[in-house]
Amino acid sequence: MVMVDSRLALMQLSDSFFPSGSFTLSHGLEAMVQTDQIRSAQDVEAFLQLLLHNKVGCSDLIALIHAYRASAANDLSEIRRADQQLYAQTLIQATREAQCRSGQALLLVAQSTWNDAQLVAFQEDIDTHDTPGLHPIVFAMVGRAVHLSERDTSFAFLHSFVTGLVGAAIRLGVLGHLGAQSILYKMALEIEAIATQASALSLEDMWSCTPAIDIAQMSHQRLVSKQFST
Amino acid sequence: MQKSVARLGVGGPVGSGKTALLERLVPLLMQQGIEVAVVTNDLLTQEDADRLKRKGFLPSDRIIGVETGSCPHTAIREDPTMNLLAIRNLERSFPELDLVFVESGGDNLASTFSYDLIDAYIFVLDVGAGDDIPRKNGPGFMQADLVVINKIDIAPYVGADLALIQREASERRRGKPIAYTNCKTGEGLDQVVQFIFNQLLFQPVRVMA
Repeated sequence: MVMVDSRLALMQLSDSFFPSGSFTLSHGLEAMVQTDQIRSAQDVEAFLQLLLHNKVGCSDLIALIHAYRASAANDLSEIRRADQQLYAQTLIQATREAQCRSGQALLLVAQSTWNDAQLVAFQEDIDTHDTPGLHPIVFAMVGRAVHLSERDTSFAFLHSFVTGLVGAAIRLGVLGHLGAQSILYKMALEIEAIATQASALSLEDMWSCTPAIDIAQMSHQRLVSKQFST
Repeated sequence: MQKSVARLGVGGPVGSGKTALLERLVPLLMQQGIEVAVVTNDLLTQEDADRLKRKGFLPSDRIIGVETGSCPHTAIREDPTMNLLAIRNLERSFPELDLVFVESGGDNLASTFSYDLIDAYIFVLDVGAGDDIPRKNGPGFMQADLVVINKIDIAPYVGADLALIQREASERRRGKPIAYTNCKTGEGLDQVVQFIFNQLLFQPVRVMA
């Protein structure tokens, strides 16, 4: 595979234009908006902080970093262990299924864009049900495949996550396009701190605690009218 | 190379008759021995998927509804990955499939499909939208592999000049096919079925009902 400047690879992978289906996810935001728990830009910001600090940063990202290191060492069994551990600790069924779908979508696009034997091998593991193939794990492998550093891969993952949710908030009518950029700027500071924190933790340290958001994610499927799949 | 099922997109504005067209086409194709499945892209509900399931002509597990995050054109063009995954699941569950329809959520005249998602697409308009629609040069109307102009029976009641639509649509489409249909009676559907057989299934129609 021809090497390109990793900054360009970083931009391609973290661009909201990159097709991985993330625009169909609201991570419980839609249910919270419909039940009036989130009404303003401040509420959206609090929602994002909670998700970043109490869920994504302390579980998804730790698994991602572990998978990145295993991927760099070409250790597929350790990648699978991170995948399975994250699966076991993702307690909401709808979230697990969405993580699998997004992982598949990313792997589908990555395999057709970049030539990488490890991605092909991991797809086979998913097809034979040896591993679930969650989105953060696939993201780690793709980051490694396009020669991003571990930290840049974490940044790309968190940035994509926040951008996707801010986009969802605009479509749900609780945020304007200016407020969205302001939140993205504030979240950049959080992202740096979260990435640093997660890089020092092991798979056994993973945890999450977002009960209100968990309930919203669980109740989403029962909404009468919904734009998003989660 | 792995066999993949033929894929046909169905797009067009809200209420133009995309689901009604599918309700007519699917039984006609099944009569011809064609194995069909449908992916719908509803904007806010599973209304289209449920409507097709209620009709009962396809087993409900051959109909998948994809939620599109309120971006119907994104789901069929810029980021069709969720539709691709739905198609792949159908292919794996039903290896006998010949054709999968991908019905877009109702959108505007600019909505077009990615050819990485589908092999060809139909753009459905209805005469109730006005007889000036062809003159608007919408990319969906101009580029689609087949344009279906539906509800031809209501033209006199909505003040639309069907002859004008026919003349201008032919000029703008520059020889690309257009079918004029009434999905309530089935008028004009033979042309749509012919298109599917010729352009996607590469086989002749046996007997038209």
